[in-house]
Amino acid sequence: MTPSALFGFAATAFAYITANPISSAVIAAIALAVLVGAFLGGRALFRIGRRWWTGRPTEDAMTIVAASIATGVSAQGMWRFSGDVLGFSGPLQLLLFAFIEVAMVTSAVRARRNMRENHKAGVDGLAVWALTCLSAVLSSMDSASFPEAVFRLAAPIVAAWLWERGMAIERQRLTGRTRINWRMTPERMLVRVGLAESSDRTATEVDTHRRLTRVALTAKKARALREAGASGNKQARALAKLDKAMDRAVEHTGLVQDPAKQKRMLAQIAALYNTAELTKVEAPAFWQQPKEPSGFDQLALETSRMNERLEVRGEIREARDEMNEARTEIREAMANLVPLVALATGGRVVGRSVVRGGLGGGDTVRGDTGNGASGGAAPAPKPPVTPRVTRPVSRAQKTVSRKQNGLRRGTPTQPSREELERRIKWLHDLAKTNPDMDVTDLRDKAVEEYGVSTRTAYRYIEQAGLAPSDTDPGDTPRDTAGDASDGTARDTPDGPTPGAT
Amino acid sequence: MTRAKSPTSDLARLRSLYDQITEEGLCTRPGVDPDHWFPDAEPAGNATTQRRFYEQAATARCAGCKALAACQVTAEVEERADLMLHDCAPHGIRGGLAPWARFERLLASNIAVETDKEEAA
Repeated sequence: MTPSALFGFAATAFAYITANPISSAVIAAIALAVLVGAFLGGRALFRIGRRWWTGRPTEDAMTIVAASIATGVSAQGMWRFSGDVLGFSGPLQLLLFAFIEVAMVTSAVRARRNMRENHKAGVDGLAVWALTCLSAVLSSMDSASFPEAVFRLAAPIVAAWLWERGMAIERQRLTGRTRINWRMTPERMLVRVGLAESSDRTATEVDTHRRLTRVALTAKKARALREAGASGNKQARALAKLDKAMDRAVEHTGLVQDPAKQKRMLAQIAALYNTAELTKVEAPAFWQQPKEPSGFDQLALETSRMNERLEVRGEIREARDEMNEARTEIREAMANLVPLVALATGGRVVGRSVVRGGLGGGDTVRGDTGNGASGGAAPAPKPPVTPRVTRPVSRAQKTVSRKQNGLRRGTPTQPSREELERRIKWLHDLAKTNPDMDVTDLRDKAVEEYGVSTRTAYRYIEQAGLAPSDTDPGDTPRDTAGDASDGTARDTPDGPTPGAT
Repeated sequence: MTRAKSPTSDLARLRSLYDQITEEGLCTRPGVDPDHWFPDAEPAGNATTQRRFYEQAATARCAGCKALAACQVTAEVEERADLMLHDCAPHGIRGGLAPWARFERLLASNIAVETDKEEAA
């Protein structure tokens, strides 16, 4: 556009605006709205495209773009056809010219969906090709020259081919199969150039790793047994296992020659030996700021520690007092016992001891060894007997965890949460339908229905809100014999039950 | 006599073979038990029946594996090095072959190489 023409346009526009300002304002507003709409629409399209693009290879997007171009070309052929042969013109032509192309794209999309859902393109995949051929033949029949006919034939077929390929990508991603096994994948190219390295391991490497790990594990077991002071047999067995694992590692992994493998194994063993340290790892949560304890906190901590110490000390003192009391009681009892023993055996009492048969030596029944002075007449006091200390036997910790209740013999399975809720609801309904039932009746019903203990039945009743959950010692229902008509022991609540009435 | 260049003469090629094994091998699919390919113990030399079973199992395990040829080549290369440098005999199933079968192959190829050298000398 030349500057003069531009100037002329501007002058005309200015004249129009001054002539009718209202309509020009409306036009300007509409134009602005259109601009904003176009911007928003473009941005949304861009975002959708970007979201679609991420995580997909380039050839996917390229395929879509190329297929769209080829479809455009074939649609142009159909435009010519609809204008020349069918005589469409104006809006009718605009509306109808590309119906085959639209149908083709629709079929392609449907085929793709079929592929996703049924892993087969089905009839829609066939329809793509049929529609393509139709479009190609129609648009080529309208062409003026032979080269144009060939071109018109080719364009839709290229489009269909690209749609088909786009679907093949989908198929491959879904089924994991490819029709062609490419020897030159991008990954392989990168690996070959040396930019990438295949991270996966072959079975041999996995095997090597496992053998080394096995050595580490058996070493850990042997050490644990030794530290726990297990029996010799067990230790010997563990050592034999370790020996075997080590033999195999040496034989099959080249452990002796490869310092990297040795290092790896040692690292594993070190990690396994120091598992206990894991319990001491202090990992503060991310919302907890690492802060220095303030002086006040430290003071409080120290105080609480001191209180604990004092408490322990007081407990020790109490225990000591109790022990002394018990000792004096025993002493008194023995003092009472000594004359009786003397009477029974016909001996005589020497101080607090009994000398049997009146002989000076021999065995004595000693009444008291509290202070070691047991009467001057007692000859040859025995050396004080040191009490035999039995140390608690330390055993290796069980490696198996505790079984669940239902799996242990003799323990009933705990009901699941749902089951528990069901039971509680049942009790609730029962109490509602029979308002004259009291807690004991409910308890009996629950015991009958579910075979639980009375205690558990009470728990259910509590949870159903039919009895006060925080019962005082006086409130708890007690068993009283002969309460029921059939002579069985029944419970009578002491107070009124608010929930059951 | 000139022999054809060994297929594993260049390292990149060997690497691509390993890639093929990790991508396509039946033994490297997720969830398989490595014990099936590398059992703890192998039958001894005179346990002929067990050896036969072992060989049958080996062929069955690797049947239809796309990386079979690559696996055999890499196994040969690795195990030859192990045998010559560290005196380690092959173990486990590789390339659908029992370890003793691979060992025999190695010995045979080694003999062939040595005779070649003698002829050249």
